[in-house]
Amino acid sequence: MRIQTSPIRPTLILLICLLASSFTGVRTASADGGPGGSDLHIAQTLGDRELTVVVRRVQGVPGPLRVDVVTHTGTPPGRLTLRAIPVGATARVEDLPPAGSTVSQGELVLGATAGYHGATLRVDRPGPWELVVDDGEQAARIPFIVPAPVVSPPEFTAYAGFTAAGALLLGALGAAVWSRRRWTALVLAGGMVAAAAVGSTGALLSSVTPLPPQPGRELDPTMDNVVDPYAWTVPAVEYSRPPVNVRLRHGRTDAGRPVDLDLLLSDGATGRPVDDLLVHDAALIHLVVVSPSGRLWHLHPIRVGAGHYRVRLTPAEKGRHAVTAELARRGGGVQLVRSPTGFDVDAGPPGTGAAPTPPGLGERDVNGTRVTLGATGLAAGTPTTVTARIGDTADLQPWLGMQGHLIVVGPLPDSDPVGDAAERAPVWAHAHSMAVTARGMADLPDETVAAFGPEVSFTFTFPMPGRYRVWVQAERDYTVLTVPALLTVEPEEGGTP
Amino acid sequence: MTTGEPGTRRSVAPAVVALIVLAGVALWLFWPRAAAGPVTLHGGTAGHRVELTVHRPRTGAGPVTVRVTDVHGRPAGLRKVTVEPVMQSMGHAAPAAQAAGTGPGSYRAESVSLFMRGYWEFTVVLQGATGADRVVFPLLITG
Repeated sequence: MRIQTSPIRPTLILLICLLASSFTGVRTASADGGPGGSDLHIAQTLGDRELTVVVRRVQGVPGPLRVDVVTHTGTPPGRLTLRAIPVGATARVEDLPPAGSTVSQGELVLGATAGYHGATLRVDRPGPWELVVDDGEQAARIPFIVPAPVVSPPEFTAYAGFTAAGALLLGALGAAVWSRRRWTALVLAGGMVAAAAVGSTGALLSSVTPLPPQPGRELDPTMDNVVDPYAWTVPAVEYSRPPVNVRLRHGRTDAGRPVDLDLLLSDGATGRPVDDLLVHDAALIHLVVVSPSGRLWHLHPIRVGAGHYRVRLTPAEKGRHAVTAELARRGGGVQLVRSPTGFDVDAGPPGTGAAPTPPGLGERDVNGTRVTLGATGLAAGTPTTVTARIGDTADLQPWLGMQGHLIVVGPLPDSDPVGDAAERAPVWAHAHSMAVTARGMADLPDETVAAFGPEVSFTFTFPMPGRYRVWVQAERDYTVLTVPALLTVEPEEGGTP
Repeated sequence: MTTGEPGTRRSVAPAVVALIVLAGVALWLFWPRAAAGPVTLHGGTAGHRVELTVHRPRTGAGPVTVRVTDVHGRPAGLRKVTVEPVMQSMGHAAPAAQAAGTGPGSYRAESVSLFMRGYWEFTVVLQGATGADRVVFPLLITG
């Protein structure tokens, strides 16, 4: 047996120790997946109730799912049944209740006072789910995603590389001390350097690697692609989808009587039902209805099935009602779908009738609240700022994530009923008033915080001159105020080029 | 001169072999590959449990098998089962394939056409005594 006395061994040990010390304090890449997402706020016109359903972020599965329901002034008290149903397809065979079955159920009692009401359900897997909100007569099926912790390939490489480097380091140290062969320690040390290089490269790449297509937002979600979105990546794919056609269906419509309006959405390229709407501005669909006298409804139809939405409203007057739906499909892009037909209402019992023609700019009383409307430079082609001062104190609540909404329809001729004219109007717009927040939209508090206003302003460029109907909407004391007005927009200075 | 020493050759050889093996393992791990064999997906509705098997998950025409049970696990008796392949983001719809019954709760369509790679959706339409039920199966076709 020959004892190695060469100075190579101490040098090797020193080298390995130096390398080891260089890794001390190295931190692995931070995960860019994890149980992400945020609370889902979604407005729902369920029967006679205008609700905001808040699906709280799920922290992990299996685990609790907190659902809050915000009621507004005039919401009838009653009882809602909530059900959580997994709906995602999967290639995995797991010992879980099958997709389509109710995993958890809860009840929620709505009081007569407007405000928050909550219930806690349970979810048992990541992937696409439906929250069913059932009032005993109608059921809204709200799609949402339960996220899964996701590790990107570069992160995995970083973890694997540094783990291997650590193991090889120990091996190299052991070999340097106890092995009789010099090459053993050298090979292990070389392997450690290579593994550390791999780990460092993974750590560096993890911050710049683009995210995979997002299930729910870009891809039709399944349990599998929510758990491993990187396996569902195809380069250079366009995610946006074709436009939508809407068909209205309803029973007998008499003024003064509630009517359930069905919206049947079909794909503009395949004709198939459209069942991939995203929640945008806190609703799946923003439905705007304008009556013959210019009365406005801004409602949020419930999803009752694939491509099938339903909303209840009580028309107050006879005649044609114009209908538009603002929505966003998976893959991105908000679109305004205008019904080519609207719906006609027959005369109702006495007591129903037309709304008065609204005033222009200036002061007026809306449901007991003093509202002052002003505008700068009402000329076509130039940005006009419309400002509404609602009440005298900063007590407005964010509604649909914004402190104010402005609906614009026009130009409208003087002679025709507003509903008919609105159906043919070239401009139909929905502008927002956004509160100033410290770090962007994520900071905007929810509906319970009454600290905005009293002034809300909107900047909109009227594309052409003429008479426009506008409606300012804001929430105060859990009541949505709608302020109608008539604006005359002058021709563009210098004329149209 | 060290090149001719047998001891050195013996020392280097295991390292070279180890490196080659490592490189081979890395290549095998990271080599992109399409799903070769059949893919079976599980889905369902409030009334049916559905298992869809795409036997050839690649571009071209291939068979598809559908197995349907009720919520109690009994084979479902259906009047008609159709498989409708669609690429939602492309706005493409492929011809619908009617699946013929091959046994209790089991149906098979011989030729479902997938004309390009990408994100496909298979809508399985179940026509039963109480009406139509639809289950959607998204599937990525990479090959």
